[in-house]
Amino acid sequence: MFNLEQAIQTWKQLLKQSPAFEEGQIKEMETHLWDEIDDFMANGLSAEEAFNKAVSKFGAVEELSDEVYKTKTTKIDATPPWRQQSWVPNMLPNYIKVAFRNLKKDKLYSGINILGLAVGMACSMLIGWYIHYEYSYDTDYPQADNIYRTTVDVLGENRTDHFATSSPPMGPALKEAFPEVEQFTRLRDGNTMMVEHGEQRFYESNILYADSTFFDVFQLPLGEGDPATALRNPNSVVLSYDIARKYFPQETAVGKTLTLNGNELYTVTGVLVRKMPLMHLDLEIILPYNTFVRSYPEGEYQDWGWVSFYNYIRISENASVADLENKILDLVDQRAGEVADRIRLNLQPVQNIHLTPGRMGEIADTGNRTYIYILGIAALLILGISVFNFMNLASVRSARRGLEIGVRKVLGAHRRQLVTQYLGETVFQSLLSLLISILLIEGFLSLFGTLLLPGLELELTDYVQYLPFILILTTVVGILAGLYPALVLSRFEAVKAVKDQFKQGKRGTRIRNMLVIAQFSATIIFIISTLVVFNQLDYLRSKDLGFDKERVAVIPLNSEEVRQNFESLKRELADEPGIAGITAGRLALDGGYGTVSFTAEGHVGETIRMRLYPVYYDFTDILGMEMVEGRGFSEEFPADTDNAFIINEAAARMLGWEGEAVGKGLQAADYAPGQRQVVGVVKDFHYTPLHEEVAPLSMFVRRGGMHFMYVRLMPEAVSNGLQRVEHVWNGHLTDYPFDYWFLDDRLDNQYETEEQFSYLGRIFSVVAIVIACFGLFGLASFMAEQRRKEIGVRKVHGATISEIVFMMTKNFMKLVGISFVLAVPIAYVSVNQWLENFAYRIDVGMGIFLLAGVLALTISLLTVIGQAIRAARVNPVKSLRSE
Amino acid sequence: MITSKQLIAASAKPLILTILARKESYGYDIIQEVTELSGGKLEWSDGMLYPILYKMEKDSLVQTRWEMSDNGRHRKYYSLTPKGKKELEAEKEEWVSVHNIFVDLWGLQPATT
Repeated sequence: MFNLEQAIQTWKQLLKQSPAFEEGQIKEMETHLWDEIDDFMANGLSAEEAFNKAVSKFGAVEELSDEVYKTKTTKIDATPPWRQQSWVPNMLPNYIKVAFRNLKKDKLYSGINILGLAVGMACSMLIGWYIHYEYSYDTDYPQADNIYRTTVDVLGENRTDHFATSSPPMGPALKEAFPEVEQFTRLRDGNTMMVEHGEQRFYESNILYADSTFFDVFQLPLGEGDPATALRNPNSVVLSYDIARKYFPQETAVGKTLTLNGNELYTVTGVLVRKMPLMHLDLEIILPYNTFVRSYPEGEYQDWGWVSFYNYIRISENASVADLENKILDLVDQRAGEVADRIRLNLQPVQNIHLTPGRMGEIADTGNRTYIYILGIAALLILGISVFNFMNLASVRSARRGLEIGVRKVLGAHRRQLVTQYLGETVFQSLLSLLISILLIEGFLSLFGTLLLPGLELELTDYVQYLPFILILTTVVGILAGLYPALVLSRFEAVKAVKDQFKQGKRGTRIRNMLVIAQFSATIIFIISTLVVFNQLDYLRSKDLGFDKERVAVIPLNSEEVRQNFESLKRELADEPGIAGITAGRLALDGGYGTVSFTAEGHVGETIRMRLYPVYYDFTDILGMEMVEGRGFSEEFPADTDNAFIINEAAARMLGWEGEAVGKGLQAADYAPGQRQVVGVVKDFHYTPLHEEVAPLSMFVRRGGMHFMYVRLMPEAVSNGLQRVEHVWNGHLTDYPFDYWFLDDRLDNQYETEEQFSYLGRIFSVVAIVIACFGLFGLASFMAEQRRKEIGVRKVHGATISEIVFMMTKNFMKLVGISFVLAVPIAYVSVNQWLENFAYRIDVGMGIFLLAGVLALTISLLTVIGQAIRAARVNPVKSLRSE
Repeated sequence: MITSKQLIAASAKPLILTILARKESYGYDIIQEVTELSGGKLEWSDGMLYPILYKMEKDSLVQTRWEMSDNGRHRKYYSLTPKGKKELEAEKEEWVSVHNIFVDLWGLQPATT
């Protein structure tokens, strides 16, 4: 049905398309048209006839705009820029002017569209940047692609242990045997030490021992000092820039002395530059390898089975790594002695280290390639959702403009012009979104950047190289979004278009529906994944670890002197009311165990490899572990130090001693001398993060060399108890600062990567939902408008408001339902895949999927229902009137 | 019906100036006047009028004001400025001069100033 008001508005839009006209002039001409139409109608013409006649009498808008343009300049023969040959560069400001006008017309839709796309772009760019960052570890220093780390697989009876470490003789052997191995260097993790200079005194725990060849293999820049000689002298030390500034704020560090462990003097021979290339090693304090060497007997260093070191080699440019690995097999057989058939030596490119978790004894936290892939997919999904949104809303907007197109065609506009214009508009919007997204990224980083990646300095300028790519991508998105409406709608027959405003909404519904389904499927997948990660984390944190982790303060004993004081500390604190018990262990129950060789009764000729954990008496007791056979160590049995072992259930199973382990002989002569027997079997407890299964473990009592003191505090006396401990500590050890952490806190923080994941997952889910709802909102508004007449008719025939609301929301709910059905299998497979990372995991039950579905349904319902209610309440008289 | 484009173009400006000299007027009204005054011989396309008006406004020959009508329409009213009046006189002179050439050549009745 012909709507005069609307027809005039669309004609007015035509005028607005031309940059030649000013607002006032457009208003003037509109009034002119009205006056003309009034006259015609007064003479008996119908509204439609009057409109058509008036419009054609007015004349071609295009020529008119040319003439008006000419009035603005003083040149004699001014051609408007849009008539000139080279139109693109000149056209630009005009195009922009028109594009802005068009935006303002549809403020709501345009706003939603651009914002939605901007958010999606910002998210995916941030993720893209992060992925790039993670992949750029160990790429920024010379020869990085020729450096390899040797890793060792230890083959046991029914298991193989994969270590990130290797043994001391390997590096030198490789260099000597193979000419293509140009250089080697070894690293050893140092313990926490106390570092002093003058009044400054701190515990530093990021200490590494490195061969003097370190800077030959890793050609890292030194701000001060000579890399060739810095680590040669046993009492030298190389510092990171921050550490150097910490102890030597005003002066050059090189040449100065630091005191380590209370009495060892080291001279600073080098300082690293401030901005180090990104690498898997976290370098703060580097001590020479030959300082470390003094700690153990010489012969130990020939043991190929002592896998507690890191070996790196640099291989010559064209060497074949595969060949080298083969040759290494022989080398191991020749040199490794008795461990030869139990170890396998691999070469790992240094650029793989950061993203490949899974080896034991990693020197630093790794990222995880799988996570990166997942993040990448998430980024693509979010981008997809927002691009689909953009396309949907663009096609909605152009459907509303069908009438305008019709009118323009009456006046002779060419199809090519219309297409170009539409594409231009959507590309413009797309670029505008890009601009906004960059602003969003800047804002987000300045607010939250340090939260996610502390210590990170993001220089956006580093990524300028990607700008052309991003621009092209954005333009493509704009073109895609505009293409469908531009092509399809510009085919409308002119007259039909003017008449058939009603029908236009139906076109493209199918595609729109598919886009909505795609969006919501992705969103639901996000929600499900996030819920699963969340649940798994919760499970990890609350799982029974086999010991009681509450109110246990762990105090590191960081030097020999401190360790020797342990027993006197324990004695003095024995009667403190606030303290339930004190014990000690070599390690802190959060990983870090190597295996050692055992011989066992009943396993003649076999070398059993198992973890060995030196502890103090009462360890199992004070930490609340359950003994399933026998007893724990106790001071009542002082001889435990010489003739007892405790093993865990896993060890008992491995040895075939379930139920009858007590009394069995077990020996680890190299590490726990004496003839020993099993005196107890402890229930399996988790001494490593829950990614790994509990491996066989054996414990023995040692009175010295305990690196961690465990103090269990009484419930009412946690802070008092601690104070007492500190007091007594300071009484005995004035030179050593008192430091502690709580076991449960430390254990909870083991799952940092998973935490980050949960955090990100929640953010992405929210972002995805928000974007998808933007789209849904736009569609719902559009539909409400299109079906205005239909609703009016229904109301007249007696439909209630709720019936109408139901009718309008029904379709959308159906779409969400379909999305759910599509999303569930994909989500199921993916989350189970992720959960495989954990030896201990939750079962993914129906509940999570249902929850996600209900959530999606509710949120989309809420989005849509507002529009539905508003449309349903409109007075039918109003909507049916304009015929 | 006058069909020559050049004549229509040339006569437009003096015609408009004359109409505006009589009274203040707006776009649609001016067109009606033109049709009436010419006895139907001149039928301008509406769009033709405005570029001329705008140029005149730019050259300060006319001044404008907006007025809102009862039915909510904004109308822009044009009126002559003193400069415009002078311009009208100048146009008149030139037009009459040309006219007089033809009077002589073709033996017509002389125009009255």
